[in-house]
Amino acid sequence: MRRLWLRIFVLAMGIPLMLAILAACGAGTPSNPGAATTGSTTIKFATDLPVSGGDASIGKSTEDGAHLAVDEANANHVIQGYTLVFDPQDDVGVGGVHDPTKGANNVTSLIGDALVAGVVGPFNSNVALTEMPIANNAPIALISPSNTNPCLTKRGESVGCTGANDQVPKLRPTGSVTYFRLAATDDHQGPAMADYLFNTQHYKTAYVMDDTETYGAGIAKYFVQEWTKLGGTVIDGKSHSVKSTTSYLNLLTAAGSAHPDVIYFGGNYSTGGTLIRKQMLTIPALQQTAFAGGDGIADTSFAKAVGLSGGPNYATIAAPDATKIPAAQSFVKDYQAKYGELGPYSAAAFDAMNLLIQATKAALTKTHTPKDPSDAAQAQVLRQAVIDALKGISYNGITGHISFDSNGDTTNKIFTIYQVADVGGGKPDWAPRTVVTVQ
Amino acid sequence: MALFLQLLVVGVATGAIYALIALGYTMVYGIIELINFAHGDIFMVGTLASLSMLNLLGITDASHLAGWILAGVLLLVCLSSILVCAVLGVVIERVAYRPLRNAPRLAPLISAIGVSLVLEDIGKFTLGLTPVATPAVLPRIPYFIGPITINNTDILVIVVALLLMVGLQWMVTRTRIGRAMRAVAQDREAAALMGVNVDRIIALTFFIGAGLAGAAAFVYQLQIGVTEFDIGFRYGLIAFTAAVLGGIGNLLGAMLGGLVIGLVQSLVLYIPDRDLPFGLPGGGTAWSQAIVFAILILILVFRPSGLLGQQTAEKV
Repeated sequence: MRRLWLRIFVLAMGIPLMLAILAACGAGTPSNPGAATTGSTTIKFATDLPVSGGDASIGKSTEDGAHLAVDEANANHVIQGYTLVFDPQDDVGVGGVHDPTKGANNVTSLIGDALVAGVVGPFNSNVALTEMPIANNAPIALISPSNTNPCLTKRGESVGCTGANDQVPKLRPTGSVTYFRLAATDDHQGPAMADYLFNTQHYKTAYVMDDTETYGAGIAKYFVQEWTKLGGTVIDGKSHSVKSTTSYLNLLTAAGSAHPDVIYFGGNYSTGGTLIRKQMLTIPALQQTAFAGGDGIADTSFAKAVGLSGGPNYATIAAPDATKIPAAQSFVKDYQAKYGELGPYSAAAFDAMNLLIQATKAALTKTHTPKDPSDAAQAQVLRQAVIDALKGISYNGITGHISFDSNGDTTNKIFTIYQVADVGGGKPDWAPRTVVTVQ
Repeated sequence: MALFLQLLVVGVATGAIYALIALGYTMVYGIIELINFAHGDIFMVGTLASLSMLNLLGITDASHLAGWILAGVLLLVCLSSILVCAVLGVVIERVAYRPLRNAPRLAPLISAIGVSLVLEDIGKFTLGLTPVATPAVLPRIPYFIGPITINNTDILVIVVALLLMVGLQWMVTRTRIGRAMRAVAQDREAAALMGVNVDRIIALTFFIGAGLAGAAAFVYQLQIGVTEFDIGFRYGLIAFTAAVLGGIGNLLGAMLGGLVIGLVQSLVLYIPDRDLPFGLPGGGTAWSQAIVFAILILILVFRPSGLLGQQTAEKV
């Protein structure tokens, strides 16, 4: 019996190992780098985003940002002698929203088309979970404009990626990075807000609470660290954890007696955000105190429930609002002329696609394009060269200077600060205030 | 010290709401020995009724009412909340419990859970999945008494809870209807033989119990002013615990249980953020729900019938 198990074990370990060696051989075989002219003169740049159904409004504006980048690159002949073809895919499934299975199928079919150099996407973290292993094995570059889940690229307790959240070995089966993203991860939300409140609002004392969950406790912890580093005072020196309950009045009473400038909450509007904000109003000392949090509270329902009474409300979103960035103004003009209203991720998608185009341009100095859509061997060489170029890229995008760290995360950690304001007709909603970049 | 006194105020003000809801659990249990799991959701429907009534009257945060108009609006909202809940309670009893009155005790319990889910879905349907705020119709005025602050809304909650409690106690012990209720609770068949209309008395119990949840919902909306489809479940669980803690079936026990839980939830703030056994990791507030239930278990181990015990003496 024991011997049988041993055999199964050896087979289980051995087969992937053999495949890996074979795959490595395939990638390593040089295929006549001099023959640049033998390849196709069209190259495809794909997106995989949710652009229909329930996600249409946010997904389509993201896709349009990427589309604009391809159009402009063609007009400006960024890659001399080649035609760039935009190849958009929709990962909305039968359920009417983004679907991990649909996303995985899209990536598989994009990999099957040898002319596709790389993919901008996915939009949602759960879609990334199914797409990343497939893209990693191919390999083909994925550049997400919007994924913020730290565990897609990071490991370890400090970012809450242990146990079931320790996903990197599964997402990166070959061990090398093929996935990149332009959205800063959740663990930077706390510092982004701390910088803004301390430096711009000149708040000095903060009372910090969290909902005891991975996301909430995480951003609260990093807020406390940054606030202390900046020289601010965190009341009691830590975040006050409280599991979603009916009454937060005891903590808020204690907070009120310390007269903080701001209450920072790590959590979602539904795990306490809205209730805490409403209960703050019942405590006279907290009625004009500011309330701040991460993107978990940046929901229209929160703004509607809180309204315009009491102190100001702030939230961070890991997407730069292009209208607030001076360097992005010509993009904003071009986009609005062509597609109308700018979406929250349009600018990030524009940069993501430009990065892919720049990396492909660099790759083409080392190798050449596949000769037709079925030239899988050369596709693999080109795509690997694109990935290598992305790893070392240094690019001035409209959202800032972008390069990638060893995990594939952007070094340009830019956030938009939103505030609840009257967006017209006395209707309260989140409105962008400014953008901040975390060092 | 000031903080401690303030926490007591907060504890009593939240405990009063728990107590009002707990009364409904305990009344129904006292008379037909059924744990009415739908009771918390009736509370949610009450918050919804208050909200709808305010919307119907066209009241927003911006409309500053005062004087008689304010009093009239408050009365109207309060009555609509109480009536909607009370009628809902009677309907639930008629539809889901009465046909099962002679069935095994598990059957009405399951139908109670079913009703609870139906009400929650109605809440989802009307409120959506997000917390919804109620217009602040009654301006919140803080009073400063020595070192402590107390809002007019908190005073209102406490006064309403006390009045309703005293009224209910008086009704149960001093009136003919109360006597009929106690008779049905003691021995349904004997009461029927003595000419008590058992069905009507049970319906009346549901009417009053659910009406109290409606009153609780009204004062809750004035005090906190934000509701959600699952708020009934959250408050219901705590109120049910309060009823058991005080001794289920016992009206005074429900009041006491509510207050005790309100105070415990408030005072767990003093449990320091340290490793066991000198504190709890994350501080007491991270564990407040667990602490409430730990206290419940301890009390039930030493006093199985709750703090004040069930009112079973009359059953001799």
